Amino acid sequence: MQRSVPEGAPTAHGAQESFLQIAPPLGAEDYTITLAGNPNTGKSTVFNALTGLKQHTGNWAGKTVARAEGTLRHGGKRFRLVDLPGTYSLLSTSVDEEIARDFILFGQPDCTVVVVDATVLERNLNLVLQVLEITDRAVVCVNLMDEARAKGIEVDVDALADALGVPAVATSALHGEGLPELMDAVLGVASGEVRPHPKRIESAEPVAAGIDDLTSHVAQAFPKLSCPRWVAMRLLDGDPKMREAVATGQLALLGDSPAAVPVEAPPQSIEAGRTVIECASEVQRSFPPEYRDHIVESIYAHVERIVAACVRYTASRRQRYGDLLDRIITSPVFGLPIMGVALAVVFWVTIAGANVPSQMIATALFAAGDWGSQWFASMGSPAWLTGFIWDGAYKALAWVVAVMLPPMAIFFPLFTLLEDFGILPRIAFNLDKAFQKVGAHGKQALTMCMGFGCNAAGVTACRVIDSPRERLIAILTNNFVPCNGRFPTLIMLATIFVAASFPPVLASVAAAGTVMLVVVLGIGMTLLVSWALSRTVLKGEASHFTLELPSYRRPKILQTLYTSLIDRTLFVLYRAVVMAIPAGMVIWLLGAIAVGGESLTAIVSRALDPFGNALGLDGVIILAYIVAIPANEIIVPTMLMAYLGASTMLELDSLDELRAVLIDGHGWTLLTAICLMLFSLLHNPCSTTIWTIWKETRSAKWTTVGALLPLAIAIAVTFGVATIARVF
Amino acid sequence: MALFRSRRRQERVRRVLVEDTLKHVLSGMDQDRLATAKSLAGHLQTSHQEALELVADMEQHRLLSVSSAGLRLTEEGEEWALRIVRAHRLWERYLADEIGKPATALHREADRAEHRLSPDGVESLDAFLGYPREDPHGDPIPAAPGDRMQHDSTSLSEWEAGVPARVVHVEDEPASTFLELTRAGVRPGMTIEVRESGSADITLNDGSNDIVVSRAAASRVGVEAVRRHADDMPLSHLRLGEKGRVTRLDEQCRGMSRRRLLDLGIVPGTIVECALSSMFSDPCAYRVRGSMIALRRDQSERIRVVRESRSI
Repeated sequence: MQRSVPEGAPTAHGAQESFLQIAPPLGAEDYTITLAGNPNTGKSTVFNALTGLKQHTGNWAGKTVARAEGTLRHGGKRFRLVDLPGTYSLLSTSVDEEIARDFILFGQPDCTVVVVDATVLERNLNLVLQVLEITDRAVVCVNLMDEARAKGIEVDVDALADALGVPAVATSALHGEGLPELMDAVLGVASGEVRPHPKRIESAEPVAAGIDDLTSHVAQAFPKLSCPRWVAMRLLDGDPKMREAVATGQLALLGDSPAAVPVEAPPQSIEAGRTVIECASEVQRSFPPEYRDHIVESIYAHVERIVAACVRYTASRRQRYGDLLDRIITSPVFGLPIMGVALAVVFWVTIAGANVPSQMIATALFAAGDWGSQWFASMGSPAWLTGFIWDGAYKALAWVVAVMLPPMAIFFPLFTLLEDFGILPRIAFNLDKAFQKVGAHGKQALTMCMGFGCNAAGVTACRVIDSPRERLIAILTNNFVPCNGRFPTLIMLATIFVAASFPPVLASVAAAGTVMLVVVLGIGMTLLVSWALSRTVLKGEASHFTLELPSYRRPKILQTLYTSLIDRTLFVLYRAVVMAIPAGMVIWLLGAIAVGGESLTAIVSRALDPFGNALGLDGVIILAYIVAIPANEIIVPTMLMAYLGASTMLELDSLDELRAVLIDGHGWTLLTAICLMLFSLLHNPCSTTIWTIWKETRSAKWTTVGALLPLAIAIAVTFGVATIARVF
Repeated sequence: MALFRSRRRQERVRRVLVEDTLKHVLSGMDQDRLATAKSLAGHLQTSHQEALELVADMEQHRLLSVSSAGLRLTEEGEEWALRIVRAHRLWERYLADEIGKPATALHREADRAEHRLSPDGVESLDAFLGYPREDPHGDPIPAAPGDRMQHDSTSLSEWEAGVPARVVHVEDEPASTFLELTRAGVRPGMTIEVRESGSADITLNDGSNDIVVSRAAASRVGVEAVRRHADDMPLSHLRLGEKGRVTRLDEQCRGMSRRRLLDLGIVPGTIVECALSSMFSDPCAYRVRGSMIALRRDQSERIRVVRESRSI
């Protein structure tokens, strides 16, 4: 993460690698194509439509920015497709923009496809014109044509191609329209058959002469360079990476095919480079302040002329409905209640819908487990081995899958649908003020919502927050909203202890109400801890906050459900294998190993009793939580195993039985239930989440904080509540 | 090893002392009140004897000269001193604009960073920031020997009421008044008008809000005359459904925030419409070039617009 104060002058993000290493040489493919574009243009849809399943995702070297790469065949040739991060521009210092412009310049793709949103053409052309400063080999993909038609926006794509000087193709990637034509155009440009001649923009007066002067210096110093003007503009913008590439002469190596081994720049290039830098400093000093303002202004002046020639507007109903929906959702009066109700509905659907599938999967998996157990026994396997594998490892695995899979398979597709529809930015919009007041970012509202499904997913989602400080706050507090894995515990407690005090008619409402209460408490805790962090260890100014509210779009329901389902299933299974199996083994060992006639479980839980009691709990609960660090789903079964002195985890079929065991058998009271609910809400994240925090922050310090801070808070709160309750 | 490390550390400490001395002497030269060994001792918080030794050492190294009037820097000394001051002010600019550090944290950190930047590093930083003319306090960033280190300006406590002024300097000593001014939102670059000048307080208006500062704090603020921009108002004043035409982005809108607004198409001449307002009117969403962009109030306040008549 960001160090408190960078040591030297700001250098480019990332290590001092050779700039030409950004694109490894082609393997079996003929051409490298790259996709650039604003956020929210449907770029990923284009990417997915072109590459299908033949893609893989990773990260850009040394950065936590996702990188997707895929392959496709068209016209008898093989293409490698690299998806760049969505960016509004290529001029700034954000990591995304640096990656994008570096790849287009140093990666030297055979064709750059810029995906633009036909409904917001003006702003999108800003990026297009910047790309055309770097490379001639570009194709503009005018996407979301169906949306444009629905909103009464007519785009004359041919006129656009004329005005820009590069091929332009109309597409509607969601419906698969226009993609073959797009690949035809790409093939033409990549193969060299079609040579686009982009029309360059002139800069405004105060800076034009200086840019031209420096451009000729750059062209002289680096004759093989195809875009001296872009380099000049970057130098005048003070771009540290470009300064370095020029000063070290490495820019001279562009134009040769990417080398596998870093090559030394020829000495005369280094000399020439230094001269260029001096010239750049001189010109830059002579400029009026705010050089970038002039550049962007001239780009937009040019854009306005192009759009006037190519776009026509007619009134539309779609726009009005969208506006009306916006007015309602963001209304000061209705906004919060609507969001609260929506959240409650999502919870209810998840919980109710997951019930039956969970039972079915559990029954099936446990039956398989029994069968496996018998099989082992019949093969003469020693009892301890059978128990270890089938009652320990396998049982935990089965439990996690049965409990986690159905809710996740419902929650995340729902969430993705909301995302595709366009609701999420509105939620961030509504809640931003609250987060602003505690020193955090409005998008934290979204990562918090993700956390309801799975805290690990919530932590990864924090990438949408640019500022490192605010991202860290969002990561560290994600734990305070209960994830799908903690719901069973909360629901059980709510049903047994709270609903029982109500007449049966109101029982389920009371239970649901209690769970909602805990959720609200979790949200409050998130805000409180964010506030505390931003006052103490993560002090700083609020970063800039600009949020685009894209138009509402009809999501492709079936497609989304399908991909989301696959994603989540794989994740749950992976986690079950890696985390739950070891936990299961430990649990079994605790139950099986006996010392002095008592199982380890009994011994350890007795030892933990004093500590547990201080928190309003007992030793068994504490033991269960320690063992269940990998996966919160197995807390209840582990507790029951310990209470009943069983040798394996188990579940009870009826709530009455459960009540009997807990209240009558082991002295649970309302206080126990409350403290347990609080502890469940606040305690440390599961090991998957901790590992995800490590991956995202790469900082041992913050990962430790992320793991221990919630635990400390949980202990403090439960201790406080227990003590106060006992006084009365 | 330990010996070597402590040697290096000693050298570093020595260099910091030398550089702080250079700065002190340069400041004296700029203010026409030359430094002496005594004033140096106070500034560095050392004994008079140690200050004398340091001065003698530096004189030997031809960094400064001693006269009856006081200490002056040689050409070499002045060059070095200027580089330190430049590094300090550039670093403050960097912390304020790019990192977003609060105004009260800048000086301390820059005091440490100024000794660590190499000449190349300073040059690179200057280019990166776009060769800014001033640091966040309003002090000019010197580029060459002879450049001024302070602005000539009038104190706000002596400024006439009703005459628009531009804040050019906010003194960061003493810390209490600086804190008060920062909290009140008084920053270099802003245009203000004095509404009322009382014996204990002064009331200012920054174009949208009234600000009250104590006389003591006002005396630490330097202002100069400015032509008032006609008619334009902050975007945040646009009501729901109203349209405005952007005239400029405030000087105080800097760094990533300014760049992002430009990228989104908010440049002079653009038409924006206030489309949505959330609870507490913050943030608001504006229609810009066909897209809907939500901005917080502290940003929309820094975009100046002129109201456009409503279209039918």
